[in-house]
Amino acid sequence: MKPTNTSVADSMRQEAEKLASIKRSDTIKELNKEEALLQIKKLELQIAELELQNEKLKNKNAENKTIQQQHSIFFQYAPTAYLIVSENGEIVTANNKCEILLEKELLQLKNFNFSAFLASDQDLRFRKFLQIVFETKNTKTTELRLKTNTHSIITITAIFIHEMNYCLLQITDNTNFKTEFELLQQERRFIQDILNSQPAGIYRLRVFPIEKWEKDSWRSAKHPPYIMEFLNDHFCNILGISHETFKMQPGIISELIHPQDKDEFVRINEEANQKIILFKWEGRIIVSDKIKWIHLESIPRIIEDGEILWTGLLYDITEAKQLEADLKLSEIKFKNVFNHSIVGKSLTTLSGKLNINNAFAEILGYSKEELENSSWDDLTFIDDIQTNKDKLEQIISGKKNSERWEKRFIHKNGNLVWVDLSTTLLRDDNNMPLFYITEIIDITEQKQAQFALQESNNRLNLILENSPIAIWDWDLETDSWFTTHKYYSMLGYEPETGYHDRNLWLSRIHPDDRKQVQIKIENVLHHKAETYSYDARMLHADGTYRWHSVIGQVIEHTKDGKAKRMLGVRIDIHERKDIEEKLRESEDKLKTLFSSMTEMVVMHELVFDENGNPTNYRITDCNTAFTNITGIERRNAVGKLATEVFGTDSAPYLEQYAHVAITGESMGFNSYFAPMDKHFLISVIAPERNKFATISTDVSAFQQIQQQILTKNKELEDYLYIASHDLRSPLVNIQGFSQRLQKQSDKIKSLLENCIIEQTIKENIDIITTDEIPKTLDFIFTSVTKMETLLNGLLQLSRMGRIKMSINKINMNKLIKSVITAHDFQISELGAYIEIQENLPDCYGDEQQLNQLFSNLISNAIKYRDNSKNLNVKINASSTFNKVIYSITDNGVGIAPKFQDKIWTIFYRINPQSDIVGDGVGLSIVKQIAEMHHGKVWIESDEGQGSTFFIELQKKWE
Amino acid sequence: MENIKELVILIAEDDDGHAELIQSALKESGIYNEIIRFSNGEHTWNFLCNSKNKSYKDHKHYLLLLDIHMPKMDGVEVLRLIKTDNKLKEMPVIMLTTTDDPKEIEECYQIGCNVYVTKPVDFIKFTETLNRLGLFLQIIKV
Repeated sequence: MKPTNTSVADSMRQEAEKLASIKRSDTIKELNKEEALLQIKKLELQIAELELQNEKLKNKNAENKTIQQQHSIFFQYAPTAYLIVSENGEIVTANNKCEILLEKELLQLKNFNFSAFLASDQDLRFRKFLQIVFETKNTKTTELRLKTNTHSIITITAIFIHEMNYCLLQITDNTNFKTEFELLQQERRFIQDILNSQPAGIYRLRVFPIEKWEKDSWRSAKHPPYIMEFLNDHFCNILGISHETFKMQPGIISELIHPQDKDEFVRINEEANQKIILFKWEGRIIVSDKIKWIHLESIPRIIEDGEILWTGLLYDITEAKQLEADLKLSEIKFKNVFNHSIVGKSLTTLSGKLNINNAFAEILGYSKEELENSSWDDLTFIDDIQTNKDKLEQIISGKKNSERWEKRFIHKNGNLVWVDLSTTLLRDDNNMPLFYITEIIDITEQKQAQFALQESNNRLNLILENSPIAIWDWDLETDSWFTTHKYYSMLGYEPETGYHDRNLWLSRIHPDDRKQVQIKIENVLHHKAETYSYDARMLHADGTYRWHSVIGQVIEHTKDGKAKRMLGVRIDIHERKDIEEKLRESEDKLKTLFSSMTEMVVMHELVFDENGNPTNYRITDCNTAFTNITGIERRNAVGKLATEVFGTDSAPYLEQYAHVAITGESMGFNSYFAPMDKHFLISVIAPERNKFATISTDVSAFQQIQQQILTKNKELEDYLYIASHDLRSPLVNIQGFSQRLQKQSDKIKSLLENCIIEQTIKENIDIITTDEIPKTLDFIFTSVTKMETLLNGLLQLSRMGRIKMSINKINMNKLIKSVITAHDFQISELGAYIEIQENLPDCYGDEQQLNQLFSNLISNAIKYRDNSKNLNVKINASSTFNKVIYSITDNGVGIAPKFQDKIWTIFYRINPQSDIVGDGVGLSIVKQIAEMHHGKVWIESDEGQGSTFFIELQKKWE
Repeated sequence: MENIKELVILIAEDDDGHAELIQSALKESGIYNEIIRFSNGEHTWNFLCNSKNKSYKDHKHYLLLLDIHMPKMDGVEVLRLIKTDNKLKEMPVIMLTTTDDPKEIEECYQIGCNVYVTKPVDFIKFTETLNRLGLFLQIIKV
C-alpha cells in the first residue's frame, strides 16, 4: 500500500514542482525577458498537452488490457515505445518504436534486461521503481536516462498488468523538452546573474496612474504610488536595505532621501510621470547616518490601465562626488602652488611650448610673456646645452623617470644664474610622453659661496702643504686619530697607514719630555682636560730632535657631555725655540752689560702734548751707573718725567732727543749739564719710534784735561809762531852774509890775480876761491832755502791757530765756484773737467779758511794728476742731521793705502824727489782747518785710480 | 837833489846783521843819505820825539824803515804812535820785516804805513828789494 501512496505523493510533488517552476518562469517572464516569457508560455502549453496525452494513454491502456491482442498491431506500430517487462526487468516484448529508441533489433531485445539499456547509475533506480510498481501494482512514472548513443532522457510510465504479472513500460523520449527547459532555467540564472553583478542598481517600478496617487505619496513611505517589480542586489546594497524589507515597504526609498534634496526628488518624479519623460535625479540619501550621493535614471513605458513601467538604473556616485570635490580642491591647490611657489616651475610640452610661474620668470629676470615665447636653449648657458640634452634624452628614452642637475641660465641682465633643476616627464596611461614638469631653485649664491669655499679650501690646503703645520683629528671614544701627511713628513717619516701607534709616537718624544706628554694624553682620555697643549722635542728621522708644539681643543661632546672629538695642530717650532734660546742668552749678556756698564744707560719715551709736539720725556729704565753718577735712585727715576727727575723747568736736550726718537737718526754730542755741574758725552739712539736710549759718559774730568790740552796747544802754537818767525831772521843773515862772503871771495880772487905770488900758493888760492868757497856757499844756500821753506810752512800752520775765525753760513756753491775760478787758468790749460753737484748743501765756517781748504784740495788734485788721463774732478755732498760731508773725487795718481794716514802730517811728501812743487803743508792745513771747524777729513783712494777726499763740516753752529 | 840830501834814513832794526845788510845794500844802490840806525822801537820813538821838539830850522826830513819784531817796543806800536802824532804822521814809514803775515800787513796799512816790504831770505832778492826801495826813495817827494 505504501508504494502506491508514495507514488501518488511523488507525482503530486512533481506536479508541485512543475507549478513552482512555472511560477518561477512567470517571474522570468516579468523580468523584461519577453522571449523567455514566450518560451515559458509555449512550455506550459506543451506540458498541458503532454498531460492530456498521458491521460488518454492511461485510458487506452485500461481499455487495451482486455483487447490486448486486437491492439497488438496498434501496440506494434504505436508512435510511442512500449515494452513489457517481467518483475526483474527482463524484456518480454517490445514494439517497433523500441528498436529506434534502444538501437537494437526487436528479436534481440527479448534476451535483454531493460536495465542494460540504462545509464550505469540509473540501473538501481529502475529496479527499485519496478519493484515498487510490482508491489503496489499501481501505474507509476519515472524519468531515466538511456545508455544509448543519444543519451536520451526518457519518461517511463509503468503500468502493472495483473493478468500477466508483467509490467507495461511506456517510454517517452523527453530529451528535447528537458533540454529546452534547462536552457531556459540556465538563461534565467544567467540574466539574473548579469543583472545582479552589474555595478549599478537596476530596478523596475509600476507606477499607478496619477489620479490614483494618494496625497504626498512620493514624499512618505506609507502609500507609495508604485509597485516594486524588480530590484537587483546592487540596488539593495546601495540603499542598504534588504530585498525582504523592500517587499514589505516599497516606499522606504522616500524615507532615505536627504531632507534638503527631497523637494527636488518629488518634483522631478511628478514631472517625469506627468510628461512621461526620462527621469534623472542626483541627490543625497542618508544610509546608516552617512551621506551618499546617488544618481537615478529611468525610462518610462506606458502599459495597460494607464500604469507606467519605469525601468532604470541607480548609481552610487559618492566617490565620484568626493573625487570631484577633491579634484576641484586639488586644482585650486595646484594653481596656487604653481603660481605662488617660490620655486620656479614650468610645464613644457614636447614641442617646447613653455608655461611658467612667476618665480621662474623672476629667477631669470624676464616677464612671464617674454619667457613663454622663448626656448630652453635660448635661455641656457652655452656650456650647459649639451648636458641638458643628455639629461632629457635619459628621460625621453625611459631610462629614468626624472632627472635632477645643476645648470646655468642666462639672466636677462646677462649674468649667469645657477639653478638646481629637477624635471619629470609626465606620461599618459599608454606611457606616451605628455609634458615635462620642471622645477628650478636659484642657487647662484650657494654656488658662489661654494666656489668661494672651494677656493678657500684650496688655499687652506696650499697653506697646509707648504707650512710646517700638521692637523690632527682625535676620536676620543675609540682613541684613534686622523692626521695630515705633514704630521709625518715634517719629521721625515713615511705616513702611517691604518691605526696610529701611540707607543711608536711616544718613543719618538725626547725622554725628558715624554712623561709630561703622556700625562696630558691621559688627562684628555680621562676627561680631565678639554684642551691639550705641549712643547716637546721630537725625534726626526735624521736622528736629531726638533722642537714641536701641539695644541688641540675638544670640538664635539657626547650626549652626556663627555669629550668626544678633539681637533688640533702640530707645529715645528724648532727655529723659534732656537732663536728664543739665543735671545735669552743675549738678553742675559745684555742685562749683565747693562748693569755693569760704567756709562749711564737710560731708556726713555717721549711725551707729547695734544698737538702732537714732544714736550717732555719719561724714563722707562736706567742702569746702576745712572744712580752712581747722578745720585738719583732708580725708583725715583723710572716712570717719572725728566723735568721731575732732574728738577728742571724743561726737559734737558728735548730738541735733540725728540729728533732722534722721531727720525730714528742717531746722534752724539758733548754737553755741560749745569744742574749737575758735569760734562757729559751723550750718544742717543732710537730703538723704536718715539723712544730713545741715551748712553752718557761723565767726561767732566776728561773735559778738564782737554781744556788744559787746548791751552797748552794754544801756547805751543804761539811758540811755534814766534819760533818760526824768529828763526827767519838769522836765516836772512846767513843768506845775506854768505852772499857777501861770495862777493868778498871774488874780490880776493881778482886782487890776487894782480899780485906776484908763488905758483903753488896761487894754485891753492885758486882752488879755494873758484872751487871750495862757491861749493861751501852753495851748501849754505841750499840749506837756507830748505830751511826757509820749512819755516814758511810752520808759519802758515801756526798762523792758522792764531787766526780768529769769523763763522758764517757759507754758500758752498758760491765758494766752490770762486775756488774753481782761481784755478781757471790751469784747468783750461789742462782741459780738465770739473763736475760740481747741483745745490751743494750749505755749512757753517770761516769763508777764507774754507776757501783755503778747498783751494788746497783742488790744487792737489791738479798737482797730482795722472798725466796719461784727462783730469776729471767731481765735487759732491751729502747731508745728515747736523753735518755735511763734501767730497772731492779725482782720477789722479791716487795714494797707496800705507801712505794714506801719513799724508796729513806736516812736511810729509810721499816722493820728496818729485818734480812737483810742494811745501808739504797743504794737507796739514786742510786737516787743521777742518778740525778748527769741528769737522774732519779723510781719504779713500786706490793707487793709480784716483782719490776721494771727504770733508765733514757742521750744518749748524752753536 | 838837495832835498834828497837833506833826507835822513832811519832804520829801526834789532838784528845787527840785518841792519848791516840793509845799509850796504842801500849804498850799493846809490843811496848816500845819512842813515841812523836804532836797535829797538823805544830808541826809535825817543829819537823821533826829540827831533820833533827841535826848532823848525834844524828840522830834517826823515824816512823810517821799520822792522816789526823788536824788543821793548815793536814796530807796529811805533807806527801807531807816529801815525797818531800830528807832527810825525806825515813822515813816510816803510815797514821792512820778515813777517809776511797778511793780517799784519793789513794792520800796518790800516794804521798808515806807506809801503810794506817783506825781507826775502834770498839775499839777491833782498838786495833787489832794497834797490827798488832806494829808487822809490829817490822818486818820492818828501
